Amino acid sequence: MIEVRELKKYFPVKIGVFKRPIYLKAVDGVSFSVDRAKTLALVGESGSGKTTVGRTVIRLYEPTSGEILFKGENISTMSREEFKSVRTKMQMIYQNPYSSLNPRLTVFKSVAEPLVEHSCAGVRSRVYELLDAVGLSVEHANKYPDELSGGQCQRVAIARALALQPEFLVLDEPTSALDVSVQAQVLNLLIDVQKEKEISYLFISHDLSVVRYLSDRVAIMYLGKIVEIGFTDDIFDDPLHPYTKMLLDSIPVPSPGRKRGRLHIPLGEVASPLNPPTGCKFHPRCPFREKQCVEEEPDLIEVGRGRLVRCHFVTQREV
Amino acid sequence: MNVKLSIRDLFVDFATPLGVAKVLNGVNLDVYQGEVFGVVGETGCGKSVTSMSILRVLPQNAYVRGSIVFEGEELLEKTEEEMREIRGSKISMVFQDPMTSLNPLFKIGEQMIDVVRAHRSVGKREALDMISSLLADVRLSDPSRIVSSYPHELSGGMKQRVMIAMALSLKPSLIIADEPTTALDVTVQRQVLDLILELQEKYGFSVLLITHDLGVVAETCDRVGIMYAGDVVEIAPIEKLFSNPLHPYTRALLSVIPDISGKKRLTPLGGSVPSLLHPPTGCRFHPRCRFLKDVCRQDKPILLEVEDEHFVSCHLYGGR
Repeated sequence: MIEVRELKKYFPVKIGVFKRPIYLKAVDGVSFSVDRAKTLALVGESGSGKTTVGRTVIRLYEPTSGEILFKGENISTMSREEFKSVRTKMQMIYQNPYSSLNPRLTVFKSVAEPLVEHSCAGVRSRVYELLDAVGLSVEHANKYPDELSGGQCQRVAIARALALQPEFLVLDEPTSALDVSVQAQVLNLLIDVQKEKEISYLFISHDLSVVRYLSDRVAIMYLGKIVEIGFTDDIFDDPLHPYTKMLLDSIPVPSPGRKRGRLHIPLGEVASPLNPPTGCKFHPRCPFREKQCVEEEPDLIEVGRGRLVRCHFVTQREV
Repeated sequence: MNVKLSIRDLFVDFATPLGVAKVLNGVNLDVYQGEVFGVVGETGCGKSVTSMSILRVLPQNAYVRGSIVFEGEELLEKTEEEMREIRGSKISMVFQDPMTSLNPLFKIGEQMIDVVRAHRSVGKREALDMISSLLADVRLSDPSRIVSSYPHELSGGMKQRVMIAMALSLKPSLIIADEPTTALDVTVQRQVLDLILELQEKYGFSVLLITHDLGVVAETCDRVGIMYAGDVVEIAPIEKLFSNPLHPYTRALLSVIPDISGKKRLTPLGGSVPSLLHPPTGCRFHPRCRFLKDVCRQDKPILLEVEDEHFVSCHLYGGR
């Protein structure tokens, strides 16, 4: 469905008045693909570049370099005009449902807007159909966003995104502003919608338990690069990159007994993307670091079925 | 068990332009000496209002009834002067967002010295020594650099460590931590939680940990209270809460967390949290409850000890 090759997005940052801008390498050579009706999750901590990837893929940000193929067509070089028709097939759902809906439009108008914009026929019945698909009833149609709960707003945002029958959705932390009981409703809705309409998802999240629930494959990002990618079950059952292990070890698990007796304690914090470490970007926090890691950046190397890892140590082990 | 803090029948109403919001509906809970007690609940359940009532920092439009006894003394009868003495020196607080809890215009050292000198008559030099050892306590390497930094020069995790050091500075016997790691990345969260536990073991203070994350509770707390729409619906030692949850809401909460070790279809709880302007009659959970009986609509169930140290407020267990 969608394939991204060596995608880069640099932001110029000016420090001081006369200094030349330095570049913040938010996304630095990321490649992945998402199959039809499948979900790829992008996981990482703040500053890893996961949101920038999501926005660049649908050209909310113009890519600095790299290719984005949507159903085989390179959309990164298209003109704005050409891109317009493709863009209807790619939609985005944001973290905060209150700020992604226009507070002055009723639910009906919000969902109808994209249909009217693209002069579709049968707007009224289509809107009710969409509201029904996301579990909202007719009585919600005339309400304003501030009269709805967070979960209901997110359903409206999903209905709106589905209006033009997209084939690809970027979900940027769609449930992190919601309470757990509501989160479960929205997650199940996303799964059902995907099954029924065969939509591909790029699911951006920092919550690994939600990622396991929703995704088929996972890419772990660290300072603008993918450090590990593979099938969800493989990664969760046998994480290979030290950073993936650290992330999985850090999640508080809702089953008591692990208290005060842990194997690994994560060390340090993410370095500034403006001044990334040399060699392997993860080396300052890595418990297995060796001289090679400081000097030389490892490549993303295939180590198993659809499994790629960026680590000197893992590749050596596999060889 | 030595009871450090005891809350009984705490009601808090807020006067709003839309009417009276009945935010706390008779909260009962005890925090024991030297334990970590977790308060868990979703948005609007009253967990933060509970902590604000303890410190008496509720806004003007709040009307409070009930009893909050701390170390044998009734806090609701204290004068403002007496409360000021208690805040910080006996009970201190760590907030969710360390970015907004520190003043951006002053260096960390100045802010910490202010806290110490507001309560203790010590000189600047002496205060500075105290601060340096506190910063070492919270595992900040190079305390002298931290002292002369402005908040924006520190990372989120470092700022939260500074906040913890400030909370500790007057050796309180109760620390209220309101979502202390919610704004942090998971790997940093793990470090901050470990730090709180380590210091708790070292100094023996009690912790009231407010969170929405059952994972955090499972890994840090000794006992936990579950709140729903202004009521404490269940209190239990953590092993019991996870192995044998009794209240229908607790069970629902546990079944909606995605499991990190596998894919199992979640069974979401229908409906949403009620408006506290017009809360449901009887048990406030009844409109969403699978085990609804007639009595649930009429009478509010009482929090009863159904087995040793396991309290639940539900008519299924005879809470009348």
